[in-house]
Amino acid sequence: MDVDKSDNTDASADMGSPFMEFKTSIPENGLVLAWLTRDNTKPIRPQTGSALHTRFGSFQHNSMISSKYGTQLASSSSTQAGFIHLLHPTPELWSMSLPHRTQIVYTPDASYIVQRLRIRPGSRVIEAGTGSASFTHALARTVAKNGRIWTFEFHEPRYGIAKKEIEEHGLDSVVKCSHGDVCKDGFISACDENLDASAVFLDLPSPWIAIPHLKTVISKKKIVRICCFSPCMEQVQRTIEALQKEGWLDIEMVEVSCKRWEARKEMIRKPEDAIERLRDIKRRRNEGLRKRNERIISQEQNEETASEPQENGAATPAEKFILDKPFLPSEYNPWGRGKRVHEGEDGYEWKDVSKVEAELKSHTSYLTFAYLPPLVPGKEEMLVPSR
Amino acid sequence: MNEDVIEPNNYVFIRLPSATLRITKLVPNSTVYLGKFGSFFADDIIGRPYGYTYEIKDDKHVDTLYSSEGLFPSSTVDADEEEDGEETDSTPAPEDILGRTSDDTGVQKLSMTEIEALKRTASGEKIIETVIKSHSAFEKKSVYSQEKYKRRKQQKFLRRFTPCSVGSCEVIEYFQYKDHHRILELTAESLGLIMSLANIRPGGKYITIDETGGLVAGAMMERMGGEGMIMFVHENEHPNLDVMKYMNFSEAMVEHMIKTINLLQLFHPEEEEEMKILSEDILSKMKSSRRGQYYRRLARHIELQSIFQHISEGLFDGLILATTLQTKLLLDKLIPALQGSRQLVIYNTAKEPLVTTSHDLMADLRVLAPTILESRVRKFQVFPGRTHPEMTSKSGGGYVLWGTRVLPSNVQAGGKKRRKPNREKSAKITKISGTEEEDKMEIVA
Repeated sequence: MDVDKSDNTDASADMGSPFMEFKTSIPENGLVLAWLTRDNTKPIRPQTGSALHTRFGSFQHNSMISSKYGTQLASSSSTQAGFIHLLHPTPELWSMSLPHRTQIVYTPDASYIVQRLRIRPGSRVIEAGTGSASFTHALARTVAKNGRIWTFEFHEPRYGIAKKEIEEHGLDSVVKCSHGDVCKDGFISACDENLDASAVFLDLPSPWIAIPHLKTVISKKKIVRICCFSPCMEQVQRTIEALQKEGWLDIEMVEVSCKRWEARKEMIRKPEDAIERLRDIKRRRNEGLRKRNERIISQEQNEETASEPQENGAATPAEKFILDKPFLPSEYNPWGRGKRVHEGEDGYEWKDVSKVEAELKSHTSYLTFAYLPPLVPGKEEMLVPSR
Repeated sequence: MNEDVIEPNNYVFIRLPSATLRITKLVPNSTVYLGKFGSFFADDIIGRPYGYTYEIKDDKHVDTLYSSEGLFPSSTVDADEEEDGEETDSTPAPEDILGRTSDDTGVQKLSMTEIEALKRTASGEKIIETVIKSHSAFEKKSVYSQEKYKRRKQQKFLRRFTPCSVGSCEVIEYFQYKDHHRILELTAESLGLIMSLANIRPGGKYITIDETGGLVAGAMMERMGGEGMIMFVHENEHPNLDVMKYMNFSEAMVEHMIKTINLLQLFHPEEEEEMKILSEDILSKMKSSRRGQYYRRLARHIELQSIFQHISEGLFDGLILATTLQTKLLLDKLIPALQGSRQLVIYNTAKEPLVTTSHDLMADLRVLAPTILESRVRKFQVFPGRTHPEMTSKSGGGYVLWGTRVLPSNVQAGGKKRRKPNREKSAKITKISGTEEEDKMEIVA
């Protein structure tokens, strides 16, 4: 299939999209995801003479250009000795770097949808709405240069941002952005092509209004698969009614939940050690009490003989306490109580454990899947399925 | 791999009204047996698109049903569902008081022999109609309950089937019920996650150790569209691709994309036997069969040399491990084979080995941000007024460890050792102190 690149104006087309091709080193003005922390990734395009300033220090763009993707770059500032990693874009890393423009389709959902809709290199896919275009990137990676994605966005500013981003990322030969209300006007693409799609993804407030419009833009010769993404059960109910009415089969609704586990170390605290510690405390308290009593007695004696000079070589009570050390070490501390012990620090026993991340994304949306079989020639080629 | 039209000798995934799933090879001029659903001539469906639903006739030929008909008249009721107080909103039917199911002979006026006779003469739909008519308490059931009853009868009597192309999703569905362990309990959600995180796409050069009989490698091939290469590392003398065979990749395609190498070859290339290059002169004097053998060995030798070069020069674009072998040594060998900023994905049925690997990787500056993910799909029953998650679900799905291969700089290696954890900590502290820090970051031209 020939790829229409006629409307590409900048150099990004010649360079190829980093979302569709692997690159080894970073070209000037090429997209880099500067990884600062797990929650902070900055998309940048290195240009001679520029710099990236972060709380981990400053990073000269000159030192990024031509270095390899994946490089760990040390800061150029002498005061802040931090570093960043220069990462190759992927749809997944890109979605992590997004300032959440709208609710985005997260990777556990997105990857499952791509798998279930059987999206392959060369697939023709309809997406509405475009939203942050995060899922569009994942789709584009998979359909690749021989595939097509028609993505529709109702909200004009959002459409504008997405279209610009798709162009900047060199994906516009595969992704066709359109601005319009698919519920009202149907899936009319700005590029006036035969869509002939075999996969449909609807992330709309009222997918049931858009579903009847699909007939004219989906393939009649092969199985077409659909996924509707709705946060509320009420939307699901109406979507299913619409799908049934339009003859979609094998309707199934699911929810994806994904937990992120952190590998951690937990200190092994043995009850024997706890018992030993209690024994130690008890012994030291008894020891202390004994000494205190002795001190009181000796003080009383001292008071009685107050007239006598005190300087007879006797230590002060505190000194005396130190002199008469208990038999056990003064502190039996098997777990570093009261100290700042780093997780996994030497000198203690540790066990590998896992803990679920602090903030859990427990509900994204309900996913409603269905498929439409090809029309049977002779029997219903001209018929529109209606039940 | 043609996913649109059934080709001769393809494996096809056959859906039946009952929950049973089959994968059958469609050999031309043969008859396909579907147990109690009957049998049909393979030629009737070869060359036709996937996705039609057929009804088996008495002469073993098939009728193509209208596309909107499907295996059942559409409904979202699942007959296998456990009862969820279905009779509470209607007068209890007599059989419920007696604690008998609706299939009890008391309410069904037809005898077994009568039904058997009917099965020989009437169509599936006709049988169901008769059975329902002869059910004395059918009208007393709630609408929902009627639907369920009907669905149960459909599962029993409809002689319909839908052939689908066998992709990774169908393989999983099939093995989930049959022998889930054989594909390391993979589910569609975990496999999809692995493919996305590993950034599998056309033209990539990937490494895999795949103990799922080639399901993982097959899923990779689905997403590579015939472009790129998969180094398939295995622990036996011959690779096991028994599961991949169902996915209908041509032999030529598999040979073109899958480059196999065993662990001995991976770790000790020096133990490979030297290949003696023979001169044209000697070759011309050889028997043609021996010459053929020589050329095959030579091709394999050249392929191996190219693989060794890819490993030593670190030219790979991603790594997927789905193995029961301990991964430490494997990763030590394979991480350097990856280019910078490429993805590593390790799958395991249990979390603990991944926790250990995650700790190892956290100490290893070559892999950034190892993360363990557990993705699970929960299916719902959706019926107006009766929507709830299904009462039971299949186990499996395992855990996915994901990290990015990075290139630690020499400057850092000589510096503070504890830098990585320290940096993580400072990030946490500043996050609490507010977003001002974030705003300060900008690109200065």
